[in-house]
Amino acid sequence: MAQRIVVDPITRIEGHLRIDVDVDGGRVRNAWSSGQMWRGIEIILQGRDPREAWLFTQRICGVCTTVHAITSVRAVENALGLEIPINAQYIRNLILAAHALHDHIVHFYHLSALDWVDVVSALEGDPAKTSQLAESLSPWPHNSRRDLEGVKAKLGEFVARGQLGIFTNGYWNHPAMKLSPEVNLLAVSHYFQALEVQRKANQVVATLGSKTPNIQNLAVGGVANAINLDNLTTINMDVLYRIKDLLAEVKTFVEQVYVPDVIAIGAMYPDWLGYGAGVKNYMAVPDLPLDSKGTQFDLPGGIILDGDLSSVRPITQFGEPYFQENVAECIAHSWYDGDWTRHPYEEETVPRYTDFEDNGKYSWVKAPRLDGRPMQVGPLAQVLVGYATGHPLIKPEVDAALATAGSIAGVKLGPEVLHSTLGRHLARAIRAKVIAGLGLKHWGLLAENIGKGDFTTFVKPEFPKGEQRGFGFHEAPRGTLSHWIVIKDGQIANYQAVVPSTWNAGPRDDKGQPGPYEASLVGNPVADPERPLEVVRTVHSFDPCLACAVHTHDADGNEVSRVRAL
Amino acid sequence: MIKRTAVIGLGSVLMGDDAAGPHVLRRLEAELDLPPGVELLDLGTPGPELAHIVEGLDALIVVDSLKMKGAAPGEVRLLRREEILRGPQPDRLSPHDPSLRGALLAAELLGRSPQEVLLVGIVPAEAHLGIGLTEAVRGALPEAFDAVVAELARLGYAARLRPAGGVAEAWWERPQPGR
Repeated sequence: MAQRIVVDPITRIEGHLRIDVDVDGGRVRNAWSSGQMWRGIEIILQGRDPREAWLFTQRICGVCTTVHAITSVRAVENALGLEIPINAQYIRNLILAAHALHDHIVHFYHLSALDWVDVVSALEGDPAKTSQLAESLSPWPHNSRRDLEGVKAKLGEFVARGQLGIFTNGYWNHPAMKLSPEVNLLAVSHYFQALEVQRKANQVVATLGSKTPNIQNLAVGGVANAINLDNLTTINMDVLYRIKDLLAEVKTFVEQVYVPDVIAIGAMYPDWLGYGAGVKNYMAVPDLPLDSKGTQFDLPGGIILDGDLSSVRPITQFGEPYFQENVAECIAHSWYDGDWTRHPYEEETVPRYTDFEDNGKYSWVKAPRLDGRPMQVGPLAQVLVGYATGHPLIKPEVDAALATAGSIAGVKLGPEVLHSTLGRHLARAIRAKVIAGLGLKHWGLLAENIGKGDFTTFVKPEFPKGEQRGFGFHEAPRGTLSHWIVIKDGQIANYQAVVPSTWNAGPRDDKGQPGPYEASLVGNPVADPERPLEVVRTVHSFDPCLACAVHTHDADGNEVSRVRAL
Repeated sequence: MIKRTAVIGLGSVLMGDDAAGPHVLRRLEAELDLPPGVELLDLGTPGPELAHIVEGLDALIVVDSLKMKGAAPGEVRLLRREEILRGPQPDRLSPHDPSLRGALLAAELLGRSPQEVLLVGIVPAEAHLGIGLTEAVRGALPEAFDAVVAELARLGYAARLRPAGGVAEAWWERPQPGR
C-alpha cells in the first residue's frame, strides 16, 4: 500500500464484483455474489427520444458497448412493430459476430487462461518438445520450435528485468496448477498471438461501426451505413473484402488454436469437469437473424430446466411472448427500496443501501428470474440448447470436442460434463468456432443481396401518440441480454436493461434461491485460503463483466484474507 | 521522431465528473485544426483493446479523471509515463478497468509501447450515476484543454485553434424534453 497514486479513474475501480465464500474443510460451503456499483440507466433515459437511447446504453459498459447499442434499437423496433431492411440485419450480424469473437478470444486467453496456465513454469518448457506436442494437436503454422524459442526468450527477458508486467500477480506455483512446462509454454505463446488476433476481430467492428469501442452506425430502423459500390467512403467492394479477410484470419485462429487449446487444457484438468455446475436451468435467445422480422435465426434459443437435455422449450422469434411474460426481477436481497418482484416494464429504481448483510441486502445487482427460477445464461446455455435440439453446427462440434478431450484424458466424456467450470470454457470455444463460420456466411449473404441491387439499409421509424411497450433481446458474449422500453407520446417513460451478468451474478431472491455464481461455487475445493485460485477459476468461467474482488471467510465468518483478483 | 500521436479521452459520460475526458475531447474536436499524424479518440471506458490503441503510437496524450492523494476536486494534474508505470502492477488485463498502466505494459509485451506519454488528469468531485459536471470540474476543462495543446506543441506539432472557434456539443448533455 506504499504508493497511492491511483491512475485508474475512480468510478471504474469502484465497480467491482465482490465474491464472499465460506470455506470449511478445504471446500466452499456458502457463497455470496455482490455487485458493488449501482446502475440505473432508466433514470438517465426517462424523457429522452427513443431514437437516441442506444447512444446512452452503449455507454453503460466500456466492454459491451455494441451489444447494448444493438439491443436498444431492437427494443424500440419491437415496440413500434418495425421491420428493418435485410441489409441492416446482416450488417448488424457481422458486427455482433466479430464482437463475440473478440470477446471470447480475449476472455479465454487474457482474462482466464492464467487461472490454469503457470507463466513462470513456462520458462522451464523445452521449445522442441513443446513444438512436437503442438503439432500433434493442431496444424497451426506458428507453433514451430523457432516461434516457441522466441516466446521463451521474450518471457525470460521480462523476468530477468524483474518485471513480469501484466503477469506479475498471478497464482504461480499454486498447488492447483497442473500443466507441464511445455503446455504452459505453448499456452503463453498463444496468449501473445491472441493479442494480435483479437485486434483483427475488432477491426471488423470498427470498419462497419465507424469507430470502436463506441460504434456510430446504428439507427432505430436499420443502420446508417450507406452502400454504394462506386463510392470510396461507403460500404464498397474494397471494404467488403477487407472484412472478409479479417474474418477468415480470426476463423483460422479459432479453429487451429483456441478450440484445440481449450480441449487440451480441459483434458489435463479432468477434476474440473466435476466442479462448478451450480444452477442447471439454462436460457439462451436466438440470434443472427436471417429475415427482416426476426423469425429465423442461425443461433438457437431455448430453455432447459434442471439440466434435462431431453426437453427444451424453444425461443424462436423476436418478441417471444413466453419470454416477455415471464421475466421478472427481485430486489429482496438488493440495495433497493422494498422487496418486490416485478416485470421490467413495471420496475422502479430507488436505491437503499445497507451494509453487506449475509441474510439481508448485499448487492446492487437485482435477481432476475424466469417464471420464478434462476437461470444460467452464456455460451454454455446456447451450446446446450443447440446440442439438445440437434443444431446442425453445434451438435457435431460438441461431440468432436468431447471425443478429443476424452482421448487425451483417457476417459469417455459425455455431454453431462459440460455442466461444469470447464464446460463453460469449452462451450465458449465451440460457440466461437460456430460464429466464426457464421460470420463468413452472413458476409456472403450481405454481398449476395447487394449484388442483387438492394442497397437499402434504413426505414424511418414513426412514433404514434399514446403508449407503446417493447423489448429487444440479443445473445451477447456473456449470455441473454434484454432491454425493455415503455414509450409515451414519442418519449421514453421507462427503460430497463436486464443484462447477462445480472442473470449470472445476481443475489438470492425472495425464496432464498441463490444465483448461478453463488450456486456454482458451493463444493469447489480451496487448497489455500490465502490464494483462492479455485474460486477465481469458477467465477472467471462465466466471463464476469465486472472485475472481481474475492474475500475468503473461515467457518466462523472471520475474514481470513481479502484478495484482489481481476 | 514523433510520427503517430493520439489524444485519448477516457471516462463515462453517464457518471458525473467522470465525463471530463470526453468533454475535453469534444472541445478539441471543435476548436482545433488537427495537424497530420494526430488522432482524437473519445473511447469512453474501453477494455483490453486500449492496449491495441496505444500500441505502435510514438506519443500518447490521455485526458481522464484522476484520483490522487492530496489533490482537490477540479485540480488538473499532469503525469508522465514513469509516474504512471510506478503504481501497483495490475494482475492482468481486466475487462472493466481500463487501466492505462495495464495498457502500456501490454503494449510493451508486444514491443511497441509509446515512449512519450502524458496523462492530463482532472480530479473529480462527484462521480456517481447521472449526467453533468460539477462546477469545479467544468471550471477545470480549459486548463486541461490548454495542457493538451501545450503538449502537442512540445511534441513538435503546429496545432492551431480555428479562427472562428467551433462549438463543442456534448450530445449526452442535450436536455431531456420530457423532464
